[in-house]
Amino acid sequence: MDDQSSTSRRRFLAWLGASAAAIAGAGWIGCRARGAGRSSAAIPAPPAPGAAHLSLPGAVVKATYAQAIDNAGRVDAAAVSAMLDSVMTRLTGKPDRAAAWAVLFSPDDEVAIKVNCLPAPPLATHPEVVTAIVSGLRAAGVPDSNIIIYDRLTRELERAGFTPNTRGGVRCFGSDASGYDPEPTEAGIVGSCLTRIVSGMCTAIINVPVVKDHDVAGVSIALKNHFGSINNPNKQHENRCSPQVADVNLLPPIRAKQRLVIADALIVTYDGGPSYKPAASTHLKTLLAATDPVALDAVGYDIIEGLRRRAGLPSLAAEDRAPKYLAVAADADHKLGIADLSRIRRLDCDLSRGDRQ
Amino acid sequence: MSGTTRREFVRDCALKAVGACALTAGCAALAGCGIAPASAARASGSPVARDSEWFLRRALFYKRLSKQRVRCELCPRQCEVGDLERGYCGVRENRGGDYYTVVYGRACTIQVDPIEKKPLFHYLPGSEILSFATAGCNLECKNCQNWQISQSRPEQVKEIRLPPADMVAQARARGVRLIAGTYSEPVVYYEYLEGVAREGKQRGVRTIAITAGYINPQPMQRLCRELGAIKVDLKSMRDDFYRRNCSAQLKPVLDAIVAAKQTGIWLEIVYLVIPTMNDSDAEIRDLARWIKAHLGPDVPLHFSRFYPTYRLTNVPPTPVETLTRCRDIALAQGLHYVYVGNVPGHPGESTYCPRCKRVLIERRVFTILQDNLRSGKCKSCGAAIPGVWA
Repeated sequence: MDDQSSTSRRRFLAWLGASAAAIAGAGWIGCRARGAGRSSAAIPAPPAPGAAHLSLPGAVVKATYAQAIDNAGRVDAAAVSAMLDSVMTRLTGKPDRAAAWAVLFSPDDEVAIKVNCLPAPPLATHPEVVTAIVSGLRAAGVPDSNIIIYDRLTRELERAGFTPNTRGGVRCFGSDASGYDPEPTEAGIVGSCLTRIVSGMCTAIINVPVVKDHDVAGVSIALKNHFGSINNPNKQHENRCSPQVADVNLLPPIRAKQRLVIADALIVTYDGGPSYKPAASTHLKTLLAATDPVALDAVGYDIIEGLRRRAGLPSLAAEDRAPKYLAVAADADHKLGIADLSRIRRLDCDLSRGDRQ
Repeated sequence: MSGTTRREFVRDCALKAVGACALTAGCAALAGCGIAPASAARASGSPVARDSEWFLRRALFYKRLSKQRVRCELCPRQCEVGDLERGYCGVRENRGGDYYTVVYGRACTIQVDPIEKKPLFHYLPGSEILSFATAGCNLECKNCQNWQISQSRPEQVKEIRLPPADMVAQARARGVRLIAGTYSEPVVYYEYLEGVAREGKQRGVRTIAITAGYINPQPMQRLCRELGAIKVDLKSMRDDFYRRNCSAQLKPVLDAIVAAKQTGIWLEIVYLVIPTMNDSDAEIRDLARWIKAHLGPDVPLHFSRFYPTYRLTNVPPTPVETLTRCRDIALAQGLHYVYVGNVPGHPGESTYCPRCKRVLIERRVFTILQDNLRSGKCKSCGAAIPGVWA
């Protein structure tokens, strides 16, 4: 199923162009206009209410580069930077880094980057990926002082290779330092206090999950990564985290502020997660990018199932661990994106073969 | 935790956050952009978790499963937890296939209360009790009055390093001979509470638990053998209420209460009456009948007044008449000691002799106005009154 819906760059850009034209016509692309979206045949689901930035339901770009990580697990920052440039220019249809990032972020944005450090290195979000993201934001004119890298705990960030910093420049700290809202916010069955980083310290969120198996949820990628944005993730794991994962992403500050997902799939753990399991992990040397977290998760889930098949493991569905929350996130009550792979447009590129911007 | 105001609590959290910022700010000079070379941090020996390690103790009651997973057997939830993850309670963590409590000696609040505030009315009335809690709970009651700590993880609340021996020493230093695990849910800090109880026994300090009773029978009985008394919040006699309002089930609570009673521990029951949700005549009758049949008529039952809070703010406070009605129903079913709480001046605050009907202990809020017990007997008629009086 890996390649079922991937498409050529030309076809993807044609589709993107049609989508962007429709979106631009509605005032969605590259502008600050507010207002309700307009459905179109090229846009299978409406953008989030209140969104004023590029929104591409069902579009996922995947870049792979053999140089991204070596056999010893050392990450090549330059290769990662090239991969990110590749996915961002393809996703946005813009010719270069600055233009691509400017579609999504403006200099007055305050951007929170949600990483995933729970599984610890080497599976945690790699700092090299975040460095490349920060470079993209800088290219769009976002000042360092407007960028926060966050996760649940400062010590988990530190363990993953980030340097805590609450002063000048790009800040980096956990929600244990920022604190949480004094009252819960509710969506669906979830009632949670959001980290103040999300509720009050940013105008935009970039979600930077890793791609991994999860013993309860099935997979943990973009949608589940926001369990690290609330105070009570431990309360959200019943019934295989469904509908809780979808509900958490429906919490208004998360839904309104998340503009981009960059999934770090340099290393993927396809069984035994969420912690790193060397015997069930692979150096996939891949980044995924989307504005639609549901579509990205669907593609990530597909990747994990492919890796499981190759390893001779039963599917997640066979283990009764299929991520039920994906369909919920796409349903009429949530409308967070597209979960149906047949409706997801993928553009895959391999920088090792010379695919660049 | 009603002795700590909401404002104080929020302030404490804020101070903690400021402290954390001050600590981390010291690292800023290492990398102005907040991102250090991964290899440097990974090779540093990773001392970052040292503080939290201090509170780790191997958990009781769990089983190892495949793929480094564990199943917690402390409470009926039976969480199956993957490596590096925590159970529903938020204070028990799988580390490499073994399960640990992360709150041993890690209190988040501590203060001295009157025992009547718990409420325990038949256990050393008029005593002061050193009361403590850690973060975490294995329920999520939409009306939790202490949700700021019960629904939080330990990293999100104040941290008071207080191992069992120090807890007991604090009690003695304050001239207090009782300690209570309360406010959040002592089941989730089981090992800590048991440690306090054992330490206290050796030094003349008794320990009690104020719990929702969502615990398996075996750990309940083991804990009761170390405790002096236990008060259980029985939240409803309807399973549907437990499922919708508490993310739990009724039967395990009833089983745990019976298991506790079988150990001979002093037991009292509290029932928070929430208008329209658990206050029907039929349900209150079922409650009283169950208590009489399974625990006996002498187990005190407290009907407590609900106030809107947390995620249940669309229901009004319990009318006093409703509480009076509940008490009348329970008395009519043959229970001997039925009280009304959170209503200052209500006659249901006081204890009456079931034989001569005279006032035994007259209370107003947490104050004892008169005590007509003599060596555990009614001063007027000599009836023996069940309880622990000395």
